[in-house]
Amino acid sequence: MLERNDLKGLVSALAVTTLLAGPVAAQSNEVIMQDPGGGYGDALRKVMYDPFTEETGIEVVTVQEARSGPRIKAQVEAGKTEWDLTFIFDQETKLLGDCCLADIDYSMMSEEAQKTLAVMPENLKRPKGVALQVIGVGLVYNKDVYSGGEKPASWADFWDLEKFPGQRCLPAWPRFVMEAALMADGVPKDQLYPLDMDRALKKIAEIKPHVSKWWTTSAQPPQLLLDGEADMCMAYTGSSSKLALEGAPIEVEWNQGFVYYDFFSIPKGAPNYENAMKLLSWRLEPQRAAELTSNFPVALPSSVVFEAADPAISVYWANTPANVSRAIEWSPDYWGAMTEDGTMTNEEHGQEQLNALLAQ
Amino acid sequence: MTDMPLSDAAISRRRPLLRNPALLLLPATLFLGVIYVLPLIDLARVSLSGEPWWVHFDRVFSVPLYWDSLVRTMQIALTVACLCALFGYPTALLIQRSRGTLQVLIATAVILPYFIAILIRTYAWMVLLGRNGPINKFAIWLGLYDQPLALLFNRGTVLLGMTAVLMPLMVLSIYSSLSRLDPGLTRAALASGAGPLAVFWRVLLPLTLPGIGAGFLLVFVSALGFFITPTLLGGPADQMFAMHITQQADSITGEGFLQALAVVLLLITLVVVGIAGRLMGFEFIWGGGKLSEPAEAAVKGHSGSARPRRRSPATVIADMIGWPLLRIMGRMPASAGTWTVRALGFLIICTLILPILVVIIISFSEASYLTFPPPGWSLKWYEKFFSDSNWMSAFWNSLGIAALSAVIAVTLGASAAMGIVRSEIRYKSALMLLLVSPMIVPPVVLGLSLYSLFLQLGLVGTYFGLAAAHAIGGIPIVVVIVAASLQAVDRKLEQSAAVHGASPLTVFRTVTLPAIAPGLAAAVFFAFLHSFDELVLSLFLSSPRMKTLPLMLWADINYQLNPVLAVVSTLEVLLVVGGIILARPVLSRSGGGH
Amino acid sequence: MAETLAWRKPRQRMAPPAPRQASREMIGSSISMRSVVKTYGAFCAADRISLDVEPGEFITLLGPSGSGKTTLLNLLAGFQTIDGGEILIDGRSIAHVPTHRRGFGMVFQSYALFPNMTVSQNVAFPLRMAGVDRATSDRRVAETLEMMRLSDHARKTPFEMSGGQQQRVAIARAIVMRPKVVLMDEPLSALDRRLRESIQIEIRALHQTIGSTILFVTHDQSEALTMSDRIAVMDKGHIIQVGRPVDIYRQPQSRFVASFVGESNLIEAEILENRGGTMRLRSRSGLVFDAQSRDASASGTATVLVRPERIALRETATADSVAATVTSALFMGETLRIEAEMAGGETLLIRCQDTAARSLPQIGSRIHVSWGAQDCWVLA
Repeated sequence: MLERNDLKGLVSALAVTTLLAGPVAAQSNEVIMQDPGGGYGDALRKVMYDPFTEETGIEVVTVQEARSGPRIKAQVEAGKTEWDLTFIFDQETKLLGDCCLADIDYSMMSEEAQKTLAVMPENLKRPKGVALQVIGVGLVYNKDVYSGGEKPASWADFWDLEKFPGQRCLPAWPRFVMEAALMADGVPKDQLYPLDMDRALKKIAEIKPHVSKWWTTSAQPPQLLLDGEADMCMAYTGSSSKLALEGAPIEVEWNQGFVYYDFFSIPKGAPNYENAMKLLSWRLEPQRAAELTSNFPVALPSSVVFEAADPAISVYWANTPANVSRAIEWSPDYWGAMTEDGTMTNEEHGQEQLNALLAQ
Repeated sequence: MTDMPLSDAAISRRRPLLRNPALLLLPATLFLGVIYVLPLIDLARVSLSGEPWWVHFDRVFSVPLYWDSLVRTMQIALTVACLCALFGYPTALLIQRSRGTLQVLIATAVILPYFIAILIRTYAWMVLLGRNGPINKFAIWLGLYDQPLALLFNRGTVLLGMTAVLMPLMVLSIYSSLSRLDPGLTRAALASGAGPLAVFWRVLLPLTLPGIGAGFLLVFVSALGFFITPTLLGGPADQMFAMHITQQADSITGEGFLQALAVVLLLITLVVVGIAGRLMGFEFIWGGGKLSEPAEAAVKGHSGSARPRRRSPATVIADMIGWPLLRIMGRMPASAGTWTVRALGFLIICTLILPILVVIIISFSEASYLTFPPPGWSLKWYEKFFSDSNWMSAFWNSLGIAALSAVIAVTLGASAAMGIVRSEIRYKSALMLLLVSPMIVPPVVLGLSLYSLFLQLGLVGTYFGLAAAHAIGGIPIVVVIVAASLQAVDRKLEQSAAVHGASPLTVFRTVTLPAIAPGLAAAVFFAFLHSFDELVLSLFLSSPRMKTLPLMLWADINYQLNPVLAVVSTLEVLLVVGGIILARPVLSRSGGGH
Repeated sequence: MAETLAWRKPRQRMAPPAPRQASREMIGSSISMRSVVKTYGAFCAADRISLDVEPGEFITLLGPSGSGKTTLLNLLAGFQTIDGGEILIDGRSIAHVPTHRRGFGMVFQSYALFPNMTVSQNVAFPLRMAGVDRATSDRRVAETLEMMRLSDHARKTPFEMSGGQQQRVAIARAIVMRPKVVLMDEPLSALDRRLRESIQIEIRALHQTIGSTILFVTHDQSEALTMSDRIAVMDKGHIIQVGRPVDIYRQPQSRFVASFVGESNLIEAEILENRGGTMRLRSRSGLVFDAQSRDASASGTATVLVRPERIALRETATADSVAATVTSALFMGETLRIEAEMAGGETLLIRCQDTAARSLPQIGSRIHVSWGAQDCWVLA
């Protein structure tokens, strides 16, 4: 009987504490930032967010999410935006621009950040988003496995299992994979678009039995290469280069690689717009951006940052002239465009097709 | 005797209505109505919003990707249910046949995994089957092959993982029907000259068929909506239907189609449950006996006991094929059957316990990647967990949400159980069905439907929001357990208190509450655990500021498999074991329910 | 336990604590049921039942299971709601008085002792609910336990006691308040025969002492005959007959009562002559005999009840005897139980005392039986 009273007390105490600790309203001393996680996330926390919090007193809350577009749309449409700063795909600045993204007030940027912006190509500083990450996707392989005279240098080599036997890994998305398949099938890189999806799928079907894992997050392919689950992957150059720099037996091949930009946007109705602008400005400062990239080789598309960075590291940047010249111009516009029947984007259509193929 | 207290009759004249126990059903029904039924209706509405209305459904059924996945999902669920039945029966028999400490150990080996989060058990399989995992290492050591094999990410692993995850459900269901059997029946059959096989075929199997059926359906229905295990253990060729829903949730133009996918999954689940319910009664969902409807109760006494059923065609066929087969098997030494049961049971128990043990061992590993056996020992991953503010805040969040959710679920669920057991209203079974139905709705569907409601109400990522969402699944657990313990309360005790002057409240306090206290405590524990382990709803409803432990685990499993996950898993196992030890006297008395 | 159950201020109840030495006229309530109806769906458990119980009376509801006797008790206690008619206690309707304000005492078949309380706490329960102060309560509990010869067991829990002791605790609890009405729901059926008989006597004596009206439910006819002032025989939701035990036994008004209460030989016979009070009849076997009857105008055929112990065995044929062939003969201790077939094919059950002069007849032997007019009763 005594226990019953005790329990009652305990339960009510718990209820009170949880209620008090409960729904914390969005406060002005924080900013909610989408985060890629993995090694990149760690580097961001160390180089960017912790000093930022120290300096401004604004807490950076990160949320690991690979893709934010659909969530932003749902949140904004319901009038309940949760995020302050997100990174979205090139095409999404257009798809979501009108409905869901706030204008970026470039006048609020610090002087240092203005320097970075000044030398940035016009196309990359849009009213709805600013390109803050140059992302490369390329052919990455274990150089211990392919240590002979010939090294894989193109998507044709990637598909050539006689010359380069071993397990492969590819992203589980249509973008990049379909382009690579077409190039492997002999389509010149300037005639890729609009994509011949059927031809690409046929080519993908060829390599499918040898793909050990269709990966979904950027941290997976390096892990697969290191674990020996795969010998050759299509992977993000950033995280792969990071490991190569640390001495892992990994080589990044830029030929026929893809270069694109992640745009940083502020959703409409973001709870902490000003804090988001402060953080954006903070990240654009050349010295700090250079420091970040020394920790993790993802570059900012501005020559000011490039000059400030360690040359030993900047060779791994996706936008070094040497790399760019060998990479292909990837078309976000194609993927963001609607299909002929207008029910979905090319990307969604391609995804459906690819999923169907993978499921067989 | 001038003082006739009957005069206070007038005062209490208007009370009976307010005192009707059916009113106790109101809070839970309202809660579920708003937070569970309405969102599902809204889901259906959105799925029909296309132009024309069937366009989204047309896409579900005409695009081979989704249709194939639907067929595949059914195949996987069916296979898993069959595997569970095949291996679950010997295990249940083994529990029933063994005695004393051995029985407790075996039962614990089956029940313990049941209370551990599916996410963690799946993770354990990833560790076990990994390239550097114990199975590969062991096989190479045995010299079966030289290079580690890729054991993960194929159909076999999905089936293995799902079967292992759902096995306890089947074993418990079969065991409960085995333990209800009169042990005299087996003896009577043996005394009548039936061999062990004949006893099994003629007596045990027919009598436990309802238990097998209930377990089979529970496993099948749960498997239909499975998401976590196939995502983590399967390859692209093992996509189950629920996974398409989460994928489509990442699509900008998926509105409507996404909901249509969810509605299809929900409808299939409901149809299966509906057919099963018609055939064997909906009680299989909550594993309980029939509720006494007021009219039924009186008539039952007069209709006499059930007559033995006539031979159905199924039994005729079973006799024609099965019987000769058993006769041949009967020529084997008598102990063969016993040893088969033991071997199969042992195999299953290993399958259930081994992954957890491996994970516990790995958590003390020195290596920063997953390898077994660990190259050295250290506590550094524990240090990392307890010093990492993200993990710790997620831990406290989970604790707080689970406590709040348990409070909501137990308050609403226990009063609803009172209402169900004690009121004499009509449509009792329908109400019970509503109360326990969240058990069978695929969590992915529930999460999706709740997301838009929670956005509107501003509940996304709040303590209360998550706790309330988790309580949807907690209420059925509480209702089932509390209703079972209420039905076990001797009504005569309550009547005796009432007739000797105790008011209804006093009766509840002095008689009912002490009697159901064990059940209530168990309900609190399970409601807490349900919320503490919940992942799928949280995936939809959490916010950046509000991460729970399962969410952190999920993110890490997807991004990088590291030993911190093993630490979290070990701590969860400790929590469950501690909870079970604390609740053991309680559990053994209340009989567990689910 | 005692700490958590607060001893609250006295609260008004239907039956205020009565002085100990109250005479039975002062204590018992009258109970009056008027066309009481209770249905479960299509099944009618109580079909317009009317029954008046005198203050202080010991009345037994007797009937087979499903006859509605427990339903009636439950309606009286307020465990179930009444569907029609009304129940009056001392002339006042109790329709809107909740169970706990009715102030009854009750004994259950399963004892229904609170497992989490000791014997004295169980007995004190009604006093505590009534808010009786602690000193008075302690004294009353002690007296009651004394009366039930339970003083030595006051600190035990119910599980530590035998069935008979438990039932005495249950009785103590039911009477500790000196209630105006005590309800007993088959209180003795879980006990073995010897114990049952001793508690029967105890209850009967208790009734004399406390003077409450007692409503006793049982399916055991001998129990009903032993204990009651009056018996109400029930069947299928109806009261078939109400009367003193001796009347119920000797002068049943229907076949059902005749065969349910005691053993019976029912003989179909043709009424030859009706002399108002006695009749002359002829059985199918041709035996002409006299029988007592209530119905002075009946004619045609009738069913005659002859109790087995009223049949006399004769060594030789006499003028009023009839011959029969023994088909079964059992020695049962104090009595012999003999079945014999009469010439007309009717089977008679005969019970006679075991005496030194009499031996058990052989099966197949011929015997002669006879009975007088005062041994036969024509069923209405």
